[in-house]
Amino acid sequence: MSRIHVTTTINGDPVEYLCDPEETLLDVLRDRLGLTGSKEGCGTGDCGACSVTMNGRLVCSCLVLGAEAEGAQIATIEGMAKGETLHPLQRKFIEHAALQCGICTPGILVAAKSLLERNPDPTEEEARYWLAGNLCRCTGYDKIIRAVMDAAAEMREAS
Amino acid sequence: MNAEFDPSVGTAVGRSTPKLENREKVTGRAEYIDDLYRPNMLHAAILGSPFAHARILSYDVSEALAAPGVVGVITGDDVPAGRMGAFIKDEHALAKGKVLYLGEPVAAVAAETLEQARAAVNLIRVEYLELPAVLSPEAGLAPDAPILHEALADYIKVFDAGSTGNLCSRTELTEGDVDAAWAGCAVIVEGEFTTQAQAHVAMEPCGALAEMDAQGRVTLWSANQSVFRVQANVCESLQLPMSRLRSLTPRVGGGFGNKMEAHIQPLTVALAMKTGRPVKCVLTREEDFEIVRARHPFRIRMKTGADAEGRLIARECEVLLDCGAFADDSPGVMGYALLMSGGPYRIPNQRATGKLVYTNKLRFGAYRGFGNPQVSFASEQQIDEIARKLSLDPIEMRRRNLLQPGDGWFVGPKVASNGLSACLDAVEKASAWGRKPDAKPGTRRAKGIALSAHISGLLGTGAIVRMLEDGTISLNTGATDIGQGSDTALAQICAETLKVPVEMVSVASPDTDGSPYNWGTTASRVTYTTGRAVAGAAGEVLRQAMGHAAEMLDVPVEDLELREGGRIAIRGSNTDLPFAAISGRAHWAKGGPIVGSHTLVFDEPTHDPKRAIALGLPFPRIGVFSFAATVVDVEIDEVTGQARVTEAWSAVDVGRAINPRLVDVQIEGGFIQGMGFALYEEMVWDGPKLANPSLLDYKVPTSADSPHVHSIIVEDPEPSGPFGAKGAGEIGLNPVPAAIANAVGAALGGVSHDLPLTAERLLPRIIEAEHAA
Amino acid sequence: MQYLAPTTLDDAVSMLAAQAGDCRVLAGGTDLLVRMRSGFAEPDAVMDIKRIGALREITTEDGGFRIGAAVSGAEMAENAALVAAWPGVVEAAGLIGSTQIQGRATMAGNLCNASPAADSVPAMVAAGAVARLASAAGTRDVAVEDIPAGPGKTNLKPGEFVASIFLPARPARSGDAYLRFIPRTEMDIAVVGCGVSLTLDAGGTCTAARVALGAVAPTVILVPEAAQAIIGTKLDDAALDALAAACSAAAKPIADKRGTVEFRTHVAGVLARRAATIAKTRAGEQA
Repeated sequence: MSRIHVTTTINGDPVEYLCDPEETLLDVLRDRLGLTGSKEGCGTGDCGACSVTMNGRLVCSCLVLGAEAEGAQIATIEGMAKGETLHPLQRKFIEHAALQCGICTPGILVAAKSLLERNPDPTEEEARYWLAGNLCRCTGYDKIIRAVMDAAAEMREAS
Repeated sequence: MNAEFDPSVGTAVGRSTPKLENREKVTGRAEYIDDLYRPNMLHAAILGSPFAHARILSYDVSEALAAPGVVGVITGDDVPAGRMGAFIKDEHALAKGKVLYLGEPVAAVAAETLEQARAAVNLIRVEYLELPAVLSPEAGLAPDAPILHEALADYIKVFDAGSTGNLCSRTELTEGDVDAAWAGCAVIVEGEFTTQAQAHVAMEPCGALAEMDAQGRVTLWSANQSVFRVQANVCESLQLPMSRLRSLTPRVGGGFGNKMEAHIQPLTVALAMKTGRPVKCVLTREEDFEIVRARHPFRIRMKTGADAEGRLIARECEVLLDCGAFADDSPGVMGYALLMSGGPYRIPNQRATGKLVYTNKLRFGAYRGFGNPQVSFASEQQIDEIARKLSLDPIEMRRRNLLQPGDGWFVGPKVASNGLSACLDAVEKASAWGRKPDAKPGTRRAKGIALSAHISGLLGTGAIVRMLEDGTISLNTGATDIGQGSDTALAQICAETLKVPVEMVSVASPDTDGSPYNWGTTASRVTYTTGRAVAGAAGEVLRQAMGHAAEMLDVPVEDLELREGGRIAIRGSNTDLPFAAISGRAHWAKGGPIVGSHTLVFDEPTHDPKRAIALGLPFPRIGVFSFAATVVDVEIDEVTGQARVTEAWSAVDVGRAINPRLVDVQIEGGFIQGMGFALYEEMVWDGPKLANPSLLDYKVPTSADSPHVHSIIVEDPEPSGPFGAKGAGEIGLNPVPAAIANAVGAALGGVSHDLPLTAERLLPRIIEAEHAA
Repeated sequence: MQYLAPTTLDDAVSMLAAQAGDCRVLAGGTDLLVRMRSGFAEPDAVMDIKRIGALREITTEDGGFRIGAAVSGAEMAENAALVAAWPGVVEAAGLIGSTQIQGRATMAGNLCNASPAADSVPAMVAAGAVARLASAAGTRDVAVEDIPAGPGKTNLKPGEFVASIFLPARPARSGDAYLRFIPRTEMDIAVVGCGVSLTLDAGGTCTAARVALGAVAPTVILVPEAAQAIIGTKLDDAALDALAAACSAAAKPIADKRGTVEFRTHVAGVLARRAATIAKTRAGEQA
């Protein structure tokens, strides 16, 4: 069984790796590239903790093969802040206490960013449905939704 | 950190300081157990039992050992005969001699890669003699039932459990004369209720990483709620001296009870000791469902009587609990449920009895609420039932019976602070209780209410506060922050006591080598109990600092005062000393480094023998009381029966909110977990096999299901609490299933006997009501 | 395991034909990767069809739409013409899983996974959708309802895979809808699902209809009696009652962890009634 050579872009940086054919993108990110911000909450695409974007599309990295990333643009939580400057969503999550244990947080931030890129002015209901694939067992979601709405408002003002 | 601080920073307690570790969590840099790697580390996989109940006749691990990458295999033959357990020591590190539930770990493999370990476990051959299985508590009590624990009589028990056969424990609590009291009741309601198994579903599955050093000492990182319970459980089951094991914690991805007692730490340590290499074992989501623990299914028979004015006279509660294969925290859960079965009301005559029965299922154990949501589901519906019979408003009915300030609790615990009445007033107003919600065509809609009390406290705790050379502060408590923010709240208590900004306090990660004992992050206890220890230890640091300052300024201590920013000053003067100067003197000139420590154990008795009779009470000393009132607005689809909560109001008396926003999240998060339990979360077994161990088939509420929860903080200060604080972790969940059931009762009539309140259960009630009408 | 990534349909059929062992077609992967992880599938090879340009497109054909097998639900929802013509099919595909799943999951995959609870399948069956199967022998067109053979099983021949799905042209005043019952609000698996597609005449009388049910039999079923109950009517209460009764009668569900027989039977009727009402409104809006 031969490994597959993959050339891809992760958070804007060119990356090359070798992976097994059945290895998931999540395993590649965590075990081969040391990007452990994406979490495995279930491995079956039911919790969203491993959310990343691939060519601008929100996906569960546990349901993508590492080999499929060939030539793709991948964005993970590690690329969200610019240096020490947090993304408005990250700041608002802290401000609104929208995180507790933090396992779901990277996936929710990636998903929320993807929402605001498509829809800068979502209704609360749109935000709740968009994020329904990101389970959080701690917060009860209310503060997450507040943080997303507040970040959206700030980003609209800034643009 | 610079020792010069902005003195304009106000007091720390009562401020919604963001959690100290938030930045690492929003950037993906927080490290949890699965993010830890050690040089030369192996990966482990577990072989689960295919039978619910069987004798293990033999193992053949030769093929597994020969498989690619495999370094070591352990079976029950490799682990000592030690047994662990919080109340009854009945559990080995790994199945030994018998398996007691389907999926129970019987062997484990350590290999170079996870894939190799997973492939190799399937090569282990185990010969079993299958035995008839006990799949319900009723079956377990049958005269000819197969016995799970043949040596039960010989197990170590930490209380009078009354164990026999498959009866793990029994508890009986009596106050007043219940049998005589029924005659004086104008209204009596009686019913049987069942509640289902609920899975914790912390978003992080359980995991552990163990490594042995050249001296044979083991270091163990694991996802846990107490590094000390991990240490105790591993050492008891593997028969190691506690000094030979160091237990640590990385960040923990939620707990809710399932990481309090042992999960796979003992077998991970056994693998590390067997292979001599670091071993990491992280459960899959499926394994996390199948082999950790869950909330107990309850069968409850309850009877309640009141006079014609609605004043409660008598309550009888009988519970039957499915214990699962091991006792774990179950005796505590049952004892606590019985203690709380009267609810926060004055009921002069009460009797609560329970039986806990071993079955061939995974162990049931601690889960947020600890038996309280189950009994509240029965109790609060009976309050509404009586109110309906007497044509009283449910809130008025409750007001006539509220536990009053100064009243003691059932069996005897003292209740000092009591903000229950204020909680009730708050939700009545916020929810506009008197206004009936408008139902959309095709729906039924109503509000429901429930009250709850919960105890925070229990067992040993300590804190060490050190003033560093530059005057900044190091706090070490051994309390695991599982995400709820206890590190932050404890730092706030420490900062408040020393009048320094929170940023000046560093919080040590729990480590059995360096932290003072902490029983655990459980029982809503850290803010209250550990907070007391922190306030005490910081107070000791202050006392020492004052002594130094008195000598340095040549004035009596009584003339000194502590000022914001960590400065000690002469009263009425501008002359002051920063902590840096004081600590420098202590380190280099006189007295020695400033270290304060404080330890305590909650020591007020649970049981007052003059008031009540108690048999088999697992908590001789318990804690202080928080209170809550919750109102929900529920909408039910008339043709499908599906219920949904459209809005909720929850008021909780937490004594004093050290960090109000973190208290809000406890209320909101607890509400949604309670809502899931009420409406759709249910572990379903197909015979002995769990049928839905996945997040597809086990339904956890999503953001789209979750209503806006109005959290309301009520503060009735607890005299013994740090700055008046008491617990907030569990109480927000307790009343939720009952409040939803009461809303359903108001909308459809009748009582909900069984949880969860699925569409399938509600639809026949709608159809029945239509036929009747 | 081997990972194959052909870039043309011709390459794909020949690669598939050349595979001696178990080769699975990977479109969105949202079912296949879960099966592989749990050990339910242990293929010798997977053939990723997402690099085949033609299979990633939605094209118009004879007034209808041809949807490539690698087109995700999210991509369907972004095609305004498709949404206008077949809102029920697009909505059904849009109910498969979360936003994350939507970015990957395809109708062809949903069909070939052959779950009786597959959301897009009742909508496709109601729509009269036709799957185009490709193999080294060429292509053939098969009605969608003839693809599933039972839970997890299809009538595809070895070396054959679904290349595209065709949704036919719509007469004027046509509408479709899909509804399902789930315990939660989102992100869930159907306890019962129902797709309805219908056409009205100028007077509002139903001239043609197809009704399909999911999760009430080993495969998604077409219910002609249900269609007959509304054809020739204006979908008044009596017709809707007859429709609901026909659906409940056709439902032959099992009781499992997801639902009981009684509940599924009842809800099949409820959903049919509601879906037909939505489809009628949509058809009316097209007038």
